[in-house]
Amino acid sequence: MNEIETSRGAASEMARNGASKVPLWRVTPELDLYESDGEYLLQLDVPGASPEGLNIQLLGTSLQIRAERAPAAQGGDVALVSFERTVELPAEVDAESARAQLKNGILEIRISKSSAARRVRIPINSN
Amino acid sequence: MLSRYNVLDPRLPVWGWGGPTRTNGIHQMMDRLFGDFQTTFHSAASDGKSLAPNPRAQLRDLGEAVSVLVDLPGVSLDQLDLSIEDTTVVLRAAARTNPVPEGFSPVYRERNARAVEWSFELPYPIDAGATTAVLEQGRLRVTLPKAIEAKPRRIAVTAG
Repeated sequence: MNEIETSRGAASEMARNGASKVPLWRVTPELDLYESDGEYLLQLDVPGASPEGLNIQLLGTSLQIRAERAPAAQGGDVALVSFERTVELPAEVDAESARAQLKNGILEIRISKSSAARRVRIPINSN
Repeated sequence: MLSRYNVLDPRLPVWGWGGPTRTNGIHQMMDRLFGDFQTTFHSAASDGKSLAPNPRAQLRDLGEAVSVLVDLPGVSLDQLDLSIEDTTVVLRAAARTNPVPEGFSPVYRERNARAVEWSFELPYPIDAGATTAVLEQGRLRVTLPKAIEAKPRRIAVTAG
């Protein structure tokens, strides 16, 4: 398994060790998948998730995403939420190229296609 | 698979998880998850425009105040409008921009970009002037302090 980034989320940790009285809810985040000639771009809605709560792993073409959010600073959460999604990418990718960014509650992941999966334009010569 | 939830249940005498008159249980959780979302929350377009389903939200009675946590990923401050009239709270969010990134073509799209118009009614008066709202990482946190007459009071009991 190629592990792009791993970290243990605070929310599920609290729920697992019993430190929190609130339940843990698993939610499937909405997803957009885009592609260019050489790259895939994924955008997921993970409102409230923190970088420390992110866990993204790649197994072949299967991308597993988990984003957990910490409880609200001033309380109010009736449940802790873990956004969890597995995405099957259409083609082989280069795991080393993957990078993720979290902004305004949206997780953006970019992964380059492997050289074998890249779209190549073939020039046509006319005589 | 769970994709949307809210926790306000008009049948509950006290809002939030684990109120004093209810126990925590999986059946109650499922009731809330799959119950009739429309009984208390309203999402209707006054001008006929297309609206998103009600946003994910959590409400909790904190005693002195009511906490409302609403998921609004990708929504910016200038797109938000929050108002309170008597005991009714109205939240409006303009449709977020969700364009196809330059140089890319869509393979699969399911993220919603429609506007949000959502309202709910509180069972007690609110001190609207002391209400605070913070948008952070796509999550709106609104704290609605109860009006003095609605706050819990300790009653001194004297020996007869």
